[in-house]
Amino acid sequence: MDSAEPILSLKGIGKSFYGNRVLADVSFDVGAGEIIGLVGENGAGKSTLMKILFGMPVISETGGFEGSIYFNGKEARFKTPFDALDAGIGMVHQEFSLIPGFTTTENILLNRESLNSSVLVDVFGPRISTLDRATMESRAKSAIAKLGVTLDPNMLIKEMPVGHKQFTEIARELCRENVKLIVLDEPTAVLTESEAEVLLSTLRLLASEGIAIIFISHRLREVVELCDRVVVLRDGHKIEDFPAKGSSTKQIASLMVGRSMEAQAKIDAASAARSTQSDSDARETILSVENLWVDMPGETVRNVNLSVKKGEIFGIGGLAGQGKLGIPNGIMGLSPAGGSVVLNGTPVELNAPRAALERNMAFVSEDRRGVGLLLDEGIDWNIAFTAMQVQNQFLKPILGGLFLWRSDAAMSNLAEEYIKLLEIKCTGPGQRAGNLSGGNQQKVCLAKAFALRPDVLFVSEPTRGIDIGAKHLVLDTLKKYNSEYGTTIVMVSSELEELRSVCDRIAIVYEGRIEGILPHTAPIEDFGILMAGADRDETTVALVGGN
Amino acid sequence: MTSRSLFQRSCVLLGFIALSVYLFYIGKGHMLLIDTNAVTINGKELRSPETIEVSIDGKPAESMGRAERILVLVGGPKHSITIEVLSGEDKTVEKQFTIPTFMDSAVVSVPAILGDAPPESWITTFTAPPVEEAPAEQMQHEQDTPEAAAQASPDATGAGQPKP
Amino acid sequence: MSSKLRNFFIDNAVVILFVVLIAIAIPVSGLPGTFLMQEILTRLGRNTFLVIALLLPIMAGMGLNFGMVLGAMAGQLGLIFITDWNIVGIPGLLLAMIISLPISVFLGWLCGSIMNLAKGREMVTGFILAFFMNGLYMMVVLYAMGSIIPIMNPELLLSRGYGIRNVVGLDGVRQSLDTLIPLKIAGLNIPAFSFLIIAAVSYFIIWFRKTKIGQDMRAAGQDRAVSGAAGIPVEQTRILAIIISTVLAGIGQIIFLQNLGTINTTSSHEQIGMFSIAALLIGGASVTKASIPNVIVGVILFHLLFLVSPMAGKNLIGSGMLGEYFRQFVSYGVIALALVLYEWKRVTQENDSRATLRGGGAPAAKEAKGGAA
Repeated sequence: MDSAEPILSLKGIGKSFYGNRVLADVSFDVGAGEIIGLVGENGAGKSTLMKILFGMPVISETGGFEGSIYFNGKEARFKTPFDALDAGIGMVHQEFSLIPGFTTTENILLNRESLNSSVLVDVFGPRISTLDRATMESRAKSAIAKLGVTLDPNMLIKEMPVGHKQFTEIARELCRENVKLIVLDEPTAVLTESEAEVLLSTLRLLASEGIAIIFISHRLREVVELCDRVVVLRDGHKIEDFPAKGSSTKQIASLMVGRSMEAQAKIDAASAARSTQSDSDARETILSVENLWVDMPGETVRNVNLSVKKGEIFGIGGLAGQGKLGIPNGIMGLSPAGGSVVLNGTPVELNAPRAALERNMAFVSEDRRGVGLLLDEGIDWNIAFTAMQVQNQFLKPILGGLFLWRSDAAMSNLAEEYIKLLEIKCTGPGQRAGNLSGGNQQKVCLAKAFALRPDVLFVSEPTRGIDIGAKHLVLDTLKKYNSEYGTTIVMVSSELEELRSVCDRIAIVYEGRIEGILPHTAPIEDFGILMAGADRDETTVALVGGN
Repeated sequence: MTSRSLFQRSCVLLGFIALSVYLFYIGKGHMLLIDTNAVTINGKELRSPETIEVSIDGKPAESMGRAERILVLVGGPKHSITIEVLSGEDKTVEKQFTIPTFMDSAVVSVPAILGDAPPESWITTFTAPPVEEAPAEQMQHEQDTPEAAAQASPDATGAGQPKP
Repeated sequence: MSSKLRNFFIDNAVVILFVVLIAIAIPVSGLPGTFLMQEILTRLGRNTFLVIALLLPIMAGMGLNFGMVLGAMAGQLGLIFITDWNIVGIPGLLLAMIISLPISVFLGWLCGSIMNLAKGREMVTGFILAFFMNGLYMMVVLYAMGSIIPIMNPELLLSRGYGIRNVVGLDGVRQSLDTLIPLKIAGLNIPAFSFLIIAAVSYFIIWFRKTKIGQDMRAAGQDRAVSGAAGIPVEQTRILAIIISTVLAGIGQIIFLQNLGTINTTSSHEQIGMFSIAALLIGGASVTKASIPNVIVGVILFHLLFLVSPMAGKNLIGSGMLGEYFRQFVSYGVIALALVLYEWKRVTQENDSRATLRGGGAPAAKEAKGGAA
């Protein structure tokens, strides 16, 4: 397993997108037949690192990368994924890259099929040849044999169980002649326990034949079990690189989310200084969610159960794609949903945004350009719009209610108020919302929600894309609305720090379910474990207070 | 593109062009006017018998008198004409002739054929007389404004149908 | 068992509906069986080729090719030229097909390129493109021909001196294909050669699916992103599908018109897209899946309905005009019905796959996640 020269050597890899640094000085080696586990939060830089390795065009289009990659002894600068494939790097992505109506064989050999020779080739080009299905099947079978599993070469992908689909993907990478390194991105995310076991043993088999493997996963237990070494990324830096044997998932989790000691101490102090509200149990429940499922592509919610207390700031966190964004989208009717949501004792109608708004709930979506704003209208229109539509604000009845006349002056005044309050940088209340910067657009979205004076306010990613100064302003405004008006706030965010600094309780979502709910004072490692979906036992230990 | 495939593709293209020319040649339609009027060839006046039956390319025969013309539509350059003389000496003459490709309407002179005139004189170009004599083709003129006609039913033919 | 039966009815709803309709209408119309049989044989020979032209774009994931009308226009232009030059018989038809080839290829390339710009909306793009090209076609046929494009035969022209007249008689090539191999069985005239040609083009389609291009087309039709990531030239493959479809439509239109015997210069091509697509859909095809049996069944059912509806209308209501209305209603209606059914089936499937999301413990949910992936 240890060969003289590593098959892949990353030296000083760095990347910034338009001044925003995403990776800095990441270096590690992968030997032939070695299995490396690559772990880190989202935003840590894993996917960017893999994009660089795999030659994705987005990297070269945004200024290339720093550092150098040595693959198979030679320096490599892949311009397209096909260069990487030709060099011998295979990649199995998280979303299956399979054609559902094709058989296993056809998928394994997609665009690399065996062809019969034909006289027509000279006139019409090589693609006119017919497929040599017999040869194709034998090639596919030999690739499948390398995996040590049984796959039916003629079964259609759409009829296959999920585990088999995963194996078909891997077989496809193996079918290339000179594959030396395979990168697997979250391969076990969709597998059952037993299927995952089979996959892990297959990967061990491949490694024993000299193929190097980079295993990216949030399932720390598997990482510890399978890998030879673990590389932890955080905030674009490589934090640690150590042998897997003897490490624990807790240790890895804390490395993933931990900050430097001083930074952590400061945050913990600020968190503790915040006056904890009176005992959570004494307050009444304003919103109760049971068995919520939401079909939001990429953020599927499977079975969420929550109770939000009146007047609290409730945080929802978790890694990307685990379902946290699906929760408010489902409750507010923007994505198909089912289950039971009860507000103040009365059930809320799902799949009906207007119904949710009429129950005095408001939502600031993470998709501000798509959902939150009327980009072609002015700031005043945007802020007043929902209030006008749902609550008939800024409308004067004329002729005894026959017509409702819009009051532009009132709308403009309201806009001025919020411009001042939230320090929105603009040319005036009439400025087109689409022309504002991202941060200011977010402030307009918040103002729109505030204008409704909701009882429950859902905010998704409130400070995404906003500079530091504005971040504080937004979070302070949320806190102010909560303390002055008693608005219950449910805040969904990928930034754990933000949640811990603002919220009373924080729920962590993993694989579409609530993995655990912790008070904001809980140590950060505990959050990390929940986000990584570690064993229940360890979670219990953390909740009980052991550290 | 390899030179070999370039060569083969050029061959295919040339093949298509050659085919088109060939199709044009063997498909060109002609209007034959079988004419039994007397003609003068090489100083000799040739006349047609009283009654004959004429068949072009084995189609059903038509009987003709002495100074008549009938219209036959044919396609292609080479044709055969069978003349069965019913009056006077019974004889049947069958000859092959070729219509030049670009001759749309050709007069086939029966007396010339029967009189053993040289083959070049059998076929002459038809020139429509300037005014009076109605041309053999009776095309009805359409209304000028293009109207949106309903999807044609199989009976509407539009063009006049002279004797096929 | 009942769910299997239910699935059978859902999958073949359109065909079943029409078989029932026709089964009722035939006796009501009072038309004799031999007449119907003869008409169906004739119409099979006449229309099938055009419907087959629709198969490849469906395979390539581009939906129903309303742009086939462009091919029909090219075919008509070919026929106008050979009529002008007075080329008769089979050579005339072949020459018309050869003339239409480059025009079809160009129009097909144009249509395919524009459809590539409107992915996911290819059908309506083809529909509108057909309207637009109709304008260009009219300009060529009513203004350019006879003035810029030399027309030798003045009888073809309108009396103003330029522009092709409304109705062009195809006497020279009329029925040439149909009567090439005269076949009469049980008193019915069977257009044997037309059927042979249809068999040949069917074989071509089947062979094409087995080639690499065919495989690439199938892949691109199912998932453009995955195919592109695998290195398949998706854009070009889609354009190729439209080009082949347009060429086949041109040839099909020539076959169609030689059977009718006349070209209606301004309108022969207009309805052909609608009718062919309606026939294909009645035959059980969908926007994403169509095969040769769909073509044949569809042509038979569609034209049977056309034949019996005027008489059935007259006998039921006393108005023969009902037939004409019914004709239009049926063809537009069946397209709408097929599209609605397709959408309904898709939504039902989505809901079914979502059913596994609801509550459920871990294993079921993981199954669902895999199913949704």
